[in-house]
Amino acid sequence: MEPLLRAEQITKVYGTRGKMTYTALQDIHLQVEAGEFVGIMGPSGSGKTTLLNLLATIDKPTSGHIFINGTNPYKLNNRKIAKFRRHELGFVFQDFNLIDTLTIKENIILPLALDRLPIKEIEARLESTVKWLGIDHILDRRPYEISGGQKQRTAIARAVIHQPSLLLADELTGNLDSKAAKDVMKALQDLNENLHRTILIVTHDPFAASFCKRILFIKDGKLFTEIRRGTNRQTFFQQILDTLSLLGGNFDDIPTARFQ
Amino acid sequence: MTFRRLAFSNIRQSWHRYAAYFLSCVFSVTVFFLYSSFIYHPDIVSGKVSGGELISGLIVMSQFMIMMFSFFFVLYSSSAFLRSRKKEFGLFTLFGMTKWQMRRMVIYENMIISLLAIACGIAAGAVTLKLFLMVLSRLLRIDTPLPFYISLSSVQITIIAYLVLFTLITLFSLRKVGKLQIIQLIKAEKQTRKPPRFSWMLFVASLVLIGTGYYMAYNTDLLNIAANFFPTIGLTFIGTYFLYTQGSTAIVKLLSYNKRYLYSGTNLLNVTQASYRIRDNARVLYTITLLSAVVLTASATFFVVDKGLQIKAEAFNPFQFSVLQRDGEGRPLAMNKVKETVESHGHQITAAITTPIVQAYVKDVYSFNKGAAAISVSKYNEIAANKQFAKVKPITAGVYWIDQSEYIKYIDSSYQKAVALDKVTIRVEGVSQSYTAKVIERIEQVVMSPSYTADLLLVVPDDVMKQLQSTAPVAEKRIIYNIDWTDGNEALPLVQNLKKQLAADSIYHVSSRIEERNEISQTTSLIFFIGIFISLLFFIASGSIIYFKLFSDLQEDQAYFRSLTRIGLTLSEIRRVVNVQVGLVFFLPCVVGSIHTMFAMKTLSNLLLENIMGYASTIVCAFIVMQFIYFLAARRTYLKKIMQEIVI
Repeated sequence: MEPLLRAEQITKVYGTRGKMTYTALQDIHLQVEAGEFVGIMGPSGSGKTTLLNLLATIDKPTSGHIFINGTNPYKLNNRKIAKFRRHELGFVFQDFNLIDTLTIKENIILPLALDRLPIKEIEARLESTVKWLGIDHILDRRPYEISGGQKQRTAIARAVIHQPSLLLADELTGNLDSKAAKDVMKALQDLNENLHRTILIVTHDPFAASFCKRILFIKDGKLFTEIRRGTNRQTFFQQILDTLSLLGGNFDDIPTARFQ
Repeated sequence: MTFRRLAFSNIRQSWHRYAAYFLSCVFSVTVFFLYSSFIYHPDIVSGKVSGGELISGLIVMSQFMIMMFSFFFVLYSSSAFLRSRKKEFGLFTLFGMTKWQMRRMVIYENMIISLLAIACGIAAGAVTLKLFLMVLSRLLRIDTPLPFYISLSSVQITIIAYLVLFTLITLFSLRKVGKLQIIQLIKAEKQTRKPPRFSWMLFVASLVLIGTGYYMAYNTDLLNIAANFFPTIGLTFIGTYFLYTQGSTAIVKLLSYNKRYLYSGTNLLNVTQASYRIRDNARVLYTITLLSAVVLTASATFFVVDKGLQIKAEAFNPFQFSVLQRDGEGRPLAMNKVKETVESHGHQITAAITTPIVQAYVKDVYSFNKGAAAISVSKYNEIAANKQFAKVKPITAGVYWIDQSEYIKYIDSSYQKAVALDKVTIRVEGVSQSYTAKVIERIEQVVMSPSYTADLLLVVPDDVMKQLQSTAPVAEKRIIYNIDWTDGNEALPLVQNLKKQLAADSIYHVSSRIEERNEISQTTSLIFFIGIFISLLFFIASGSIIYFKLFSDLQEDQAYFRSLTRIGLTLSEIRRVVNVQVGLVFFLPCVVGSIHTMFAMKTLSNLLLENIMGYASTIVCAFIVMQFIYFLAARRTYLKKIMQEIVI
């Protein structure tokens, strides 16, 4: 069966216009099956955010192919690629990216409103999504009136309400305290295990990563290794720490990975 | 890096922010320089040009207004710039820049911008000076246009005036910089957007206030203007304020009941974003609306008065050219010669009616003598046929009362009825005999130039006219030669030629429509022309404030649109959202101000008893078209800045 996401020989080189070039990613192969929960880890500057940007169709690879659900989004024109993003992908970001002028409810239903779905359908989907995320009591508030954890759960609600085939998250716990981070990661785990959504997250936080089923490590733009989780999350967490020390990168620095 | 370099690169980096402000300053300098060049023009100084002094006075007044307006505009803009750079100043302070160093930086920046603006303004003025002098010469009706001449004094005064202005503003800015606290500076960006404070009562009140203001403006006339004037303006102004602070939220609240509309496509984004934008900028939008209304009303009033006087000149000169002959038999004008001359100038004669009249008087209801002119019914009908107004029935007895007065329409109809005579007794000076007749009908119609005849024209039967002519002394008998031709607006040389041909030995008066119109419109056209620059300056400056407002939130907006692209908004959808956002801040004050103006013009219509809405619409449309061009330019820059951030 065709995997949900297939990336072949992805290379990304920056600064082609000037004399100085920098290879952010080199020859990456990646497959994600439907229903997987994959994490991507690596030290700062290893290219993990670049990889996510490529998968998220916000950036173009210098060479290589990406297929999501059998479609190569880079073969699409601007309009279609936006529509593709709107239908096939859901995004969660470190800085939430909620819109201040909209209420929580409006923020969540925005993707559906853009697609002009009937009101009844919108309301029905909204109800089931927010109940499951535990944010049904804050629907009429605005983003600056709620806590970081609530903001991130709102962002998750917005990212899944249109039922995308793939949910992408970038350092989604980066701005959260440990309690909120745990809640958010549990919500994702729940999403994956009970609703069988495919999730791919980029993180440098071993705790957040320990909720994944499989973790890919990259270093200096190349795939380094891959580990899979057994049944115990604690063991997996330890395993992650070991791999990271093997990787030898610097994980103490301030998370700089952000979308630009 | 030296301080000068830092200041210079600051400006270059955020040029898009300064562009509109700079343009306004340049335009202000240009207009000021053009005006000064006229005042200091050697031909004007030496008094060679008639009316030059009057115009100079007018221009000095305009210059004063420009300076006042520029002062407040520059003051507002520079403090807005400072506010938008709070975070930057905070960082500089954090890195250890002292307040004196920051002040020096501000001085450098302001100096660069103001010197550039003065230089560009004078250069632009020098380029357009020739055109300006040509138009003024035409309006002043100087035969040889004022030659191109840049006087040193005009350059000096422009430089000094604007240097003083910019220096004053810089001093204000420096005071502000000195007061800044570092913690405020760094926190400045983090303020979140609070939802608009709102009350339904205030919103309804704003609608009621504006509605009442409009209703009063619509119904104001000469009788109640004194009582209505200030309440109308007050109600409208207060109502507009609440419309901006409350209206946006009200519309969002109303729309939120209509989920089918709100939750469809980009409406959700447009509506909420618009509401915040209006509320955040309510004061600026409000000020610009009021200023637009005031400036538009002033421009439209001058335009209307200019056009109105020209129409009046036409209305009271039914014929292109008339000659009034008094006393004597000699003809001042040979009609066949006239025809030749007219045709040699390329015009065609459409009427040449020789009309004898007799000066007479009647007693009005108060037994005062009222001057009148008698004319025969056949002559009246001849003119009526030519000018295409209603003929009267030929009569053998009685009289038609023709009112040519321009004030008749201002007079209350009940009063008119009270003073109406059923019967008149026509007397002629120096004749004992009189003619008493019943008034058959009263008609309001300008038949011939009232200055030759009288406001009152009495149409008598042909044989009565003959009798009056035979008995009246020579001094009371007149002949009016009414001549009409095609293409009247181009006939000035023809009129001058005809005047030369008039026989020197007879006593006569000449009047021509084109000369009278020129004389009347000269002053008003000049005022309109000089005033139009002030309106333009205001228009450019207010546009630049809107432009600045648009770009002051640019970083926030870029983040906003970046979030939207990630959700999967297509480029065309983003363009649509931008259109609404930018269009809103440009057109809302423009449209509201225009509606205010139209109601003010309705009042003017009522006062003049003349329908001037057509002329008012011309001015308003011109304003909207200019605003549209401004909008297109601003949208282009804004979209470019947004797209830079989000394009893949």
